[in-house]
Amino acid sequence: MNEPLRSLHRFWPEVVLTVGLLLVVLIDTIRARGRDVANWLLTMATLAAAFVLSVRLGAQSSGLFEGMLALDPIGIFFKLILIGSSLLVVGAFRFDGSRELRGLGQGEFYALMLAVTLSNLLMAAANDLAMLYLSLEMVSITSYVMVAYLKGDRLSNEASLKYILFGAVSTGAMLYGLSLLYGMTGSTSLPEIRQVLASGLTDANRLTVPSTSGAPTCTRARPRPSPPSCPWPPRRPGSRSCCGSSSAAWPWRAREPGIWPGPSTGRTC
Amino acid sequence: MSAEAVIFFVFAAITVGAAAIVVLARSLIYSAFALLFTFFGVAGLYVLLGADFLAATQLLIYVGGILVLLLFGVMLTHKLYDLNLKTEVTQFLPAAIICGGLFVLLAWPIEVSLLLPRIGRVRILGTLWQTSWATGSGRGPAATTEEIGRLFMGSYLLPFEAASVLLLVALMGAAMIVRRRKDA
Amino acid sequence: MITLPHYLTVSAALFTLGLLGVLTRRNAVNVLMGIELILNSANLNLVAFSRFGPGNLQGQLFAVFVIVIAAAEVAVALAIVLTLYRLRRTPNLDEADFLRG
Repeated sequence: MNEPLRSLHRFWPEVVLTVGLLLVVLIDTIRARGRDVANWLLTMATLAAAFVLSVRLGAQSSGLFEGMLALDPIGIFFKLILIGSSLLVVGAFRFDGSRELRGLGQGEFYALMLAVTLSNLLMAAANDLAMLYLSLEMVSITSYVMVAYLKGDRLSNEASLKYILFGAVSTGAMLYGLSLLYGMTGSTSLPEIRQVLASGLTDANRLTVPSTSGAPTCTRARPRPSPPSCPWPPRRPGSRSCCGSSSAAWPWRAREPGIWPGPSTGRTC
Repeated sequence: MSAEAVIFFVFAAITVGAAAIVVLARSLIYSAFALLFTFFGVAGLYVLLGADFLAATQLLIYVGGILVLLLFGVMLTHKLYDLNLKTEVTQFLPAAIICGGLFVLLAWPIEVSLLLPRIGRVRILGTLWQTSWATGSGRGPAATTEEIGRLFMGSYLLPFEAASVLLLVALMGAAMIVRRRKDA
Repeated sequence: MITLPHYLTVSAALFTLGLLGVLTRRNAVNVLMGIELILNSANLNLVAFSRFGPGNLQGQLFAVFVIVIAAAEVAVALAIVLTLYRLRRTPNLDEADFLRG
């Protein structure tokens, strides 16, 4: 029951970003003079704090929130890159004196920047298919909104329309594939999926496509460029062909279920 | 045929038939109402699969939320006096060939054996029917709501909270996009 | 006897029909309907695997998140389509061709 509290100790960058996001939204509702400057300062401070907290996370690897996230050195490395690039963007962005950006709400820009950074951090550490898909969509939806940020601009509108349609269709197709992955392995947790896959799927357990089954015993493989003559494993006297022995030694490359029937130049039995 | 099979085929026919109308109907309004029946059919299949909470969620969010939103979209993107909400179809034949081929590849249900010259015997059976999926105890028809609630507050706490941030951002973004500029 | 592949076939039909709608329709709202069909097919897959396969609830929880995300995505997409209509007076996708090279 204390798992969330324990995970929170190594989750401070994301917590700081969420709090900063909410504060920016709140400050943006106040109609005061210096709110844009205050928002800029708050965003920079939040990102800098998240950067420092990410540096201090330490190098040991651990799972957070019951395996929803995995925190390891390479994940922290990517977190630093992502937060750093957000810092550069916010630091380099100037609203004053720009003709295109006149009349646009600045608070929304800062809130979207913080949200996209938060979802990037989640995506860098995601360790479960549900978490992966959720953080991916968080990044996408925030980016769709940011592309449409120049209101009244035809190019911005059209770009965001095309982006959201292509993005939604491709993530839909990806989701269909993820559901098949869940069906094959029976789990949405990435380590469990890896375990199932590493234990070796049998040939019948693989996604097989309609294939030819005409040849008597030797399964027809597409002619592979290398190795040309199967130097290893050495041909055993009992084996009928090098293609057959390699299928015994390499279960992963055993049979390429190809849509294309093997041409007559393929291996002969 | 058992009662379960009859119910399954009825729901499957409703779902797929209505989805075909969504895609093929000339009128946008017909498409939207056919989508309603698709969502109902899918909810019925959820009930058959023993997912009661998900069936209710499907009805509440898809029918109550998304479909109404799409109807708003249909209405707001046409002039009020424009009564024929027709929509044209482009490049139907190539797309139909691609999608039909994809369906045969994925889910052709009946095994067909062809003897082609020079190639040999070709067996056509959909991928989804050949693959042996992960097996397990399965899940009998039991109420899922309590368990799902516990999981949301337990191991799925983080995605649950992250989804709230996602909804906040989507709300903010949608409001921001449709609002006009201050100086315009 | 209704088995897992029966449900998978229904879901594959939904997926290909959704793809057909996305590929052929000119109206942006209609394309969004096709996307909803694709997401529904994935959800049906997840629930069917959850029922017949390992018997855990992970698939159903995944499906709940997919529904939530679909709602958020449609809200943003419709906002963008409404802006397109305001700027161009058309909901048709092939008339939005400013970005053509």
